[in-house]
Amino acid sequence: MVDSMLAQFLNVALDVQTPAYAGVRVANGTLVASDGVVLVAYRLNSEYIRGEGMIPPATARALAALANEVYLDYVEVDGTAVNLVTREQYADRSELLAVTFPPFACRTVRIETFLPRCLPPHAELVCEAPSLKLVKAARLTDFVELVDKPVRGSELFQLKLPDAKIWYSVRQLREGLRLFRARDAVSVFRNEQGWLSFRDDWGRLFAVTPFVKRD
Amino acid sequence: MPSLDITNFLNVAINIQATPFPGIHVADGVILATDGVMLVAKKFDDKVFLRGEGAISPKAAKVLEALAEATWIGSIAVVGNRVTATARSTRYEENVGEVAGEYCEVKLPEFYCPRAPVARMLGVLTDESRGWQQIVENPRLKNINEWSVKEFVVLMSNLREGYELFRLKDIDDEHWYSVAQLRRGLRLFGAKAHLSVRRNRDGWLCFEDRWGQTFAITPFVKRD
Repeated sequence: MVDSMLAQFLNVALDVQTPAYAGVRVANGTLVASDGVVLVAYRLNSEYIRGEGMIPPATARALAALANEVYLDYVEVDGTAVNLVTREQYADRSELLAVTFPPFACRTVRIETFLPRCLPPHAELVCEAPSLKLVKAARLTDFVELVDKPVRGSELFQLKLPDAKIWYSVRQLREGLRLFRARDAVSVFRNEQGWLSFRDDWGRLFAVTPFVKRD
Repeated sequence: MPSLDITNFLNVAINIQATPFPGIHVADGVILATDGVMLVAKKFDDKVFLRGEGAISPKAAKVLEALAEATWIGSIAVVGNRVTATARSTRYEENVGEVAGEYCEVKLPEFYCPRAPVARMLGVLTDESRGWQQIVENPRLKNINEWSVKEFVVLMSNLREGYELFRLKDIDDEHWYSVAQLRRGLRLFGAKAHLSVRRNRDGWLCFEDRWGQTFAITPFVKRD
C-alpha cells in the first residue's frame, strides 16, 4: 500500500537525527532515529521492514519520497544498503520492481537499545490520551513540566514553575509530537530518570529526555 | 563531494516545474523544467552523464535529488518516464573516513508524466525572428535579494557590466518582472557566477552562465 505513515515517520526522523546519530536504525522490524536527546521509533511488521542496519539520511529521504507515492511490498536493509520492492500500477496490471539504493557511509548506532527504557516495565503509565494543546500554544523557547495528576482528556503539561525538578523543552516536544496526527490517542509513560515517552496504537513512539535541576 | 551542480539544478527545477508542463524534461543532453512563465535548463556536453529522452516526474526527481545530494551521480538515463541513475556508494574506513566505492545502478519506479517539447522550447530562446539581443554581461543583481518578494521590477535604462540590472517598477513601465519569480530562478546560479543577459522584443529575459545553465522569464505586460 502507499504508506504515508512510513513517509511521515521518515520525514520526522530526518529532522530529528543529527550528524552524530545520522541515519535511521533498523532492527527487528523497528525504525529508530535519535539525536541523543529525543528519540522516535516506529515498530512495523518484520516482514515489511526486513534486515538490520542503518538507512543513511539520503536513502531515507528517497525512501520517504517513494513511500508517499508507490505501493511498497517490503523494504530490506543490509548494512547501509537498502533494497525495496514496489508495485508499479498500470491501467491493466501491476508489476513488481526492485529498487536498490547503494550503501552510503553511515555509522551504525544501536539506538534501539534505548527503547526498553521508554516502555513498561522500566517506565510507568502516566496517562492515556491527554490533551497536548499547551505544547502547541506555548512558545518554542518555553519549558513545561507535567501537571500533578494528569487525567485522560485534560492537559498533560503546565508551564515550568521556578521550583520544578524535571522539565521539558517545548521545541523538542513539538518536534517529536509531529509524529502523531491530531486525533491520535497516545499513551504517556515516564521512567525513573524522567524520560517521557508517547506511544500510539500504530507502533509509533516518541521519547524525550528531561532537563533536570542540579543542586 | 556529491554532485552539487545537478543537486542544485534539480532543487530549482522541482520548485519551478508546474502544470501545464509538470516534471523535468530531458532530450539531446538538455534537462529542462518550466511552468510556462519561467524556464530553467542545463546543457550537458558529456553525452554519457545525461542520456535518453523523456520526462522525469516530480516524484522521481525528488528521489534523484536526494541521491545526488548524498553521493556522486555517474549518469542519468531517461527513457520515457523511466529513470535509471548510477550512484556511487560510500563507506567508512578506519583512520581514513568516508571512502567512495563503486557506482551502482538505481532504477526508479516509473511515474507518468507528460512530455514537453524540449527542443522547441529552447529554440524559442534563440529564435532570431523574436528579436533576441544581448543586453549586458555580468550585471549586479543584489537588489533582487533585498527587495520584498511582492515587488515588481523593470530593467535599468542604462545597463553596464557590474551595475544593477533592475530598478523598482514605475506606473508607466510597459514590461516588468516579479521579484519572487526572479529570485526563484536565479537560485540556479552561484553568487559569483558570470551571467550573460539577453532580451527579446516581447520583453522575455534570458540569463545564461558559462556552465550551460539558462534561466528565462516572461514579463508582465501593460495592457491599454
